[in-house]
Amino acid sequence: VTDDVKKALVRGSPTALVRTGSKGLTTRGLLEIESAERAETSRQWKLISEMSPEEVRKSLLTSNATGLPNLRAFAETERNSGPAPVVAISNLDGLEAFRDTFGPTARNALQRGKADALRKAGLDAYHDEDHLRDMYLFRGESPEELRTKLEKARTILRGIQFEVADSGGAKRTAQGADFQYAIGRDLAEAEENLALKKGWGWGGPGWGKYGREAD
Amino acid sequence: VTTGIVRRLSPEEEELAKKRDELALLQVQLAERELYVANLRAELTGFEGRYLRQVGVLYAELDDWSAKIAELVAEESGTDEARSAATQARAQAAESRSASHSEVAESKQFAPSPELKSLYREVAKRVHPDLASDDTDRTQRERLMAQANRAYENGDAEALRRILQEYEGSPDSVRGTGVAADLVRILRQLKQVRNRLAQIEEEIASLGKSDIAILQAKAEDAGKKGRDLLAEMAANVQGRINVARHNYESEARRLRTIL
Repeated sequence: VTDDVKKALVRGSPTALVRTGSKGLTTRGLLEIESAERAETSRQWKLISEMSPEEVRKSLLTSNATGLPNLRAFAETERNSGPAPVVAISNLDGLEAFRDTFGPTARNALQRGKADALRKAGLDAYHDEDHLRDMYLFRGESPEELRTKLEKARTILRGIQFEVADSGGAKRTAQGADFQYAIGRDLAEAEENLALKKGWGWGGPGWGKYGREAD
Repeated sequence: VTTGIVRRLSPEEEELAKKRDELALLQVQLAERELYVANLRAELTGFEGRYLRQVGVLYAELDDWSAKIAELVAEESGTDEARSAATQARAQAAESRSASHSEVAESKQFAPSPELKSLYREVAKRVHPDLASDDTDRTQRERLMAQANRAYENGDAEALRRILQEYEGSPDSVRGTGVAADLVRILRQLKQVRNRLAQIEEEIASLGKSDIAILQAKAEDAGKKGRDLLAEMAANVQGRINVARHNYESEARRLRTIL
């Protein structure tokens, strides 16, 4: 068996395992389109070797989803400037349900909407997208300062209208969204307070990332 | 001076009137949602038909060439592994061929006229199985509703009219056997209609998440940017067919030379 023939076999049936009648043919087409889209996206990325040191630094410190500084940026700031007197953690309400109802594009729009609201409220916000619960972290001088700004951000976010399409394709306007937040002396304390507010329960999925582990 | 005796409704009659109004509203809502889901189903089936005719047939052809190559490989190597791969590739080719020439592939683009929509809405409002008063009535309504769904998908307005006439002429369409019995029946109908509305929402959500719906959304997005996604896919698969055919022919020539 020549290598060429083996390669041809592989090229000939890229998704040979998808075998469920006409649905299989549909799935196969969709998989190939998504694969082509991923390839196109990665083609548009600048090679690291083509990036300036500043661009590399920015890329490492920025959340792809929201453009906010990321968890690494939070850690850098804590180490460079010392720990903030108080910190807060917030989490969007019903993000998963929103994604299930309106799709991933609408979910991304909601995340960007929240990031805008946080910026407009003057918050020193960081987006930890590499987390099961999609967390936002904040540094502040006092609990009152953080509370005032976070409440302002909530008001802004509640007022935003999102153009979305439901699962049936019908266009709808979703009125705003809300998030919960909690303040603490450090991330572990804030996380614990937020878990209580959200009713997540000790030791649930994604718990303990910022400090205390479940027993 | 005119005087008259106004009969006051009994509490049961008042309740019945209230529930009747409630049911009438839900009937309209049910008919709208049935129409919506019927449109969605037919639209997706129409798109799937187009996809299968334009791209699916090419996948089937590609799989056929892949099977031929696998059979050549099996013939040359004679190993169990190669024979098994060839059998599997041939089964895949047969399946793709059958799927790309299935009934769905015959489906045309769905574009119902306003009259057809209105007729379907009327049938759903009057004949819907969840408005049945008893099991016999339900059986008849289910049969008529199934016919109505087929007629709607085929764009057959005449058949929808016949279904309406048939139902209106049947004894089950006649109402009224006393307040208490009516109330019980209407409460049961309300429950059934609410259940069906919930089922429709689930079906809409499930259809919206299906691969064909995602594919259709991608095709529409591409269309807005002036691209024809299905044509692009077809060209891509055709290119792979050409490569597979070339590989098969050169491998077949090589084998003939050896033998």
